[in-house]
Amino acid sequence: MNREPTLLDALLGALGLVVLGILAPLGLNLGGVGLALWLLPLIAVHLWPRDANVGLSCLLILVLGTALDMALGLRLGTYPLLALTWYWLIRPDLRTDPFHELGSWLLFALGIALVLALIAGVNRSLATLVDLLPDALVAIPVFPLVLRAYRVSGRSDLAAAD
Amino acid sequence: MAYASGHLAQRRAAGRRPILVVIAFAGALFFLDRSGPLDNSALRVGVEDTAAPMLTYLSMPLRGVETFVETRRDRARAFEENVGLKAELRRLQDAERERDSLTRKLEAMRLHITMPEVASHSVILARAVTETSGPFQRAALINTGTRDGIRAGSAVLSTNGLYGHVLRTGQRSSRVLRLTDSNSRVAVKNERTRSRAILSGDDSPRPTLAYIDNAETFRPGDFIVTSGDDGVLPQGLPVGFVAADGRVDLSESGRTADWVRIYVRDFIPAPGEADDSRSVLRIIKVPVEAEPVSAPDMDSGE
Repeated sequence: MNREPTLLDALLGALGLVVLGILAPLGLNLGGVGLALWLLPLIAVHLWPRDANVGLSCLLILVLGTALDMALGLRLGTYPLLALTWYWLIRPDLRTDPFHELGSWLLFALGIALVLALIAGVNRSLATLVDLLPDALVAIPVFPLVLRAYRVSGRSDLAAAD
Repeated sequence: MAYASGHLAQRRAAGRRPILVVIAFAGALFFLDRSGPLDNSALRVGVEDTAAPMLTYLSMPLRGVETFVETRRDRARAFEENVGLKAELRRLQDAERERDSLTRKLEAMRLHITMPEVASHSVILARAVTETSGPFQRAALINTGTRDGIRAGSAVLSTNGLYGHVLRTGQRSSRVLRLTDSNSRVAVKNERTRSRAILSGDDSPRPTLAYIDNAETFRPGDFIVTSGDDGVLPQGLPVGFVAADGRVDLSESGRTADWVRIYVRDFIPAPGEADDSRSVLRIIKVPVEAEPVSAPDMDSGE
């Protein structure tokens, strides 16, 4: 059951973005394979509260995305463009009950694949795709963990279908 | 149901505009920021300065995971490297043993080659493969025999002096009776006075002098060499020094011999017969007259 959009839910979504955004600049080197966590904030966008005010949500994504650009050393506007496009395509505010975990996860994986393909296409390099693949392989398995954490924190819009 | 779908349509329409506006703003930001990450603006520097200490602490658990994984890999690698290193160590130890063996061999050959010759005899360098020093026998087995021209009675010298003489010969080996054996009798003379005597072994490390033709002419410290009177050994081979108790301190001093050289009379070399694999060196017909042998330094290691 959808409620009226609220500012508080938008701030809640931003909190998730901040937490995962803090992890984004970090990297992990496991057995000679470098893993970057820069795709994790997209999970927060993907699971943005359904009843969050859209205008404020977009504004917060813009501000936090710009901060991420600076932290990641990207050109300003890169991450906001990516995250906002994601938000536009997913439209969390149009999500209906009940929440389908597996479907959402597959959708997230598909979105990540599209992002990688887009970056490889812009760079016109297949090697870029290969380089970024480990990052995607980190972000996709983390998705269910973040979802569980959101549920534990009391996000009713993410309740399982049962 | 109709209410819900209407509500959603209303939301869709209401949300589209702000989203597109912010996307457009982000796009403008993207195209306006031409300097990119190389920009040294105060804002970027400030954000990075703020983020750096925080990221340092946040990255610690990740560094821990990295260290854990790396440690596991290192342990696996260490096991493989250990196996390889052990094999390498064994190989190097073998090589070192071989090198030491060759060094000893070369040193022995060098000593034998540089020793002054005493007569026109053929010399055969051979290896003492066993040395028996039991209570009733002082003998050694060498790895040359009749095939190499060794004959019974041939003088055998170590690097320090007379060692004994060949007792019996096989085709590829010979038994050497050492000077200390109780059956050994060698005609000797005092190099200083030319007085003769018989060096008689008694299974002790220091043989005695018997049948001395003039006892007063033998003094402690006199150098004893073979006299050649027995018709078996060539004269002038260094034997040892007269001790205060009348016995002789042998030049070869009972040390275990490794390489010895055998003086063979009337040795006719057979070209191409030498077999290097048996560590036999032929020094054929050395036409050098006997030279006085200086008293060796008894305290030295030689």
